[in-house]
Amino acid sequence: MDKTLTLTLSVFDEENIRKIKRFYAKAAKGRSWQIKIDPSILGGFIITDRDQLLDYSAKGQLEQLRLALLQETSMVGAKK
Amino acid sequence: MTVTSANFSFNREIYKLIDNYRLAPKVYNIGFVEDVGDSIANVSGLSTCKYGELLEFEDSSAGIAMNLERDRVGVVLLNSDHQIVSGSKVISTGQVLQVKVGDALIGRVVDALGQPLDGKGRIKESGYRPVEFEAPEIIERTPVNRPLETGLTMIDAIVPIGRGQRELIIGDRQTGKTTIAVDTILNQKGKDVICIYVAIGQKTSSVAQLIQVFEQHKALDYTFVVCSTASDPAPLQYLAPYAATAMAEEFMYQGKDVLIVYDDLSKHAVAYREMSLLLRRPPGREAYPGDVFYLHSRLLERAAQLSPENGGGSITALPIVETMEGDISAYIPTNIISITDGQIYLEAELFHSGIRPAINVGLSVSRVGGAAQTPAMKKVSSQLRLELAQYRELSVFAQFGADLDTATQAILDHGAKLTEILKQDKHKPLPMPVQVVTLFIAANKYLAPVPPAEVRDYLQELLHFIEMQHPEIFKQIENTKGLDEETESMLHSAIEEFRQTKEI
Repeated sequence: MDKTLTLTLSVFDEENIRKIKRFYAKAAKGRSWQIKIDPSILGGFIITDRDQLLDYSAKGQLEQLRLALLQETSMVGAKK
Repeated sequence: MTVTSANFSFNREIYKLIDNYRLAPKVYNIGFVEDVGDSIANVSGLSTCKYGELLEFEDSSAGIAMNLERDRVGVVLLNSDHQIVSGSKVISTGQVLQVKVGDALIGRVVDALGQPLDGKGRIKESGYRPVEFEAPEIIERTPVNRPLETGLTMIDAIVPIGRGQRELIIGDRQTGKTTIAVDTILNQKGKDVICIYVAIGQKTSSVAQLIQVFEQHKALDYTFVVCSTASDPAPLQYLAPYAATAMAEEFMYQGKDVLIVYDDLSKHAVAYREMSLLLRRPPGREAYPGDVFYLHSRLLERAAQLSPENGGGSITALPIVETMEGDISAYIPTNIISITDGQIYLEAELFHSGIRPAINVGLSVSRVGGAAQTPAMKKVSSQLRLELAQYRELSVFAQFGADLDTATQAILDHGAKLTEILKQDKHKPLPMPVQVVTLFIAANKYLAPVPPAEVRDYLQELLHFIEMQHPEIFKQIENTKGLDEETESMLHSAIEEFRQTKEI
């Protein structure tokens, strides 16, 4: 787990994987990639690097939006 | 405003929020569960995790980081029905645990995380507060100066409690500890005090029974219950009092008065001991961890009377501790006695001899409450403690059957009468004026000719007579909070009037 990076995608796409690898090339120098396919992330990708998780997935962003809306709407309720 | 237009503006607001929301990729600090069990998980990774941070597991259950070690984190789990396995992913949230606060809590029954348990639907919170919060500082406080009437004559006269005070209720099992706390809550009706009852590690059936008592006495209009029963995991039992105090602080900082009952802190200490031992922290005395004193001191320090500049709100804390075989010098009782501003000590022996509330006057003190006592009460109760102490001492002496002189006999008789009038049925709190008149009657030896067994009935009749014939006396005491000479002479003549109608 230590030396490998994990890349999670919703669908397998050679072109995308190459782009993502280039994007992350500096940190990935001399380390190997492990590719995972998980349709439940809906789109985008997730990189897991030791105990860092970079969430670029559609699911993660929807979740962020959901939390933000929950917080905002409860604030609206508080003002009334 | 009609419903549709309200919906319309609400929808528009949401669309606006979505439009303006900037989606950005997020970087999380994650970890993986190494092992899990007994409501504790050990997690590797999480290199930037902070102490007390809220952590989210793969199955969306939550935990709190309690042990930070070189390459792993000890996490206590807040959900008992979690699906966490070895290898589960953990995400740090960068936040501490918070609970819902606000007026909507009143009348409700919630768990340690503020989730409703009474089936009355969602609680519409007005905000969140962190469960762990710093106690008010010296400059924000003012000494205790307003009474919090318990409705129990013995307590209000001998160990008075003031708003913002912390008074420990201590005693063996089945000595009426909870009853005192519940009566105090029942007596706050119409007195602008919000009451919180925190059940820690109790039987669910006894909590249900208690809620029924609150319902029967219409106490839920100003009371709510934070409940962690014996079946909840130790971390929830540990959190319950802190969460309840966070809810209380919201009211206190709004300038309101709050009464909070922790029932009981010995079970709280046991829950914390369980957690600590499972986290492999070294055990100390009675296997409690080293910081068990801090556990309770930081909780009880949050009770305060705020100064007028800070809103003048208060939290009065009534922690309850159960002793074993009357041993108040055990570890947890001594700790909490030293933290609180006094204690009410209940004795099984007194309880079984029919003296209820079974308060041991000699061992019960209130270190700050005297300043909060009403002048009327102060006047009639000043000699009470001394007289009861003399009675106790002499009654031990008198057991040897020695011949007693008349002075000793008088002290004994008077003490027996006092003991009788201080007995009180449960869930029947008395208003301050009635307490004052009762003590006035006793202090002026009007009960001397009455046989001890008939004292309570006689007193009831007398009080009823005064209430019917001279209601202005009670009103006068209620309004002035004092007992002036005029009222006193009115009382004397009223009692004389009653004595003439009644032959003993």
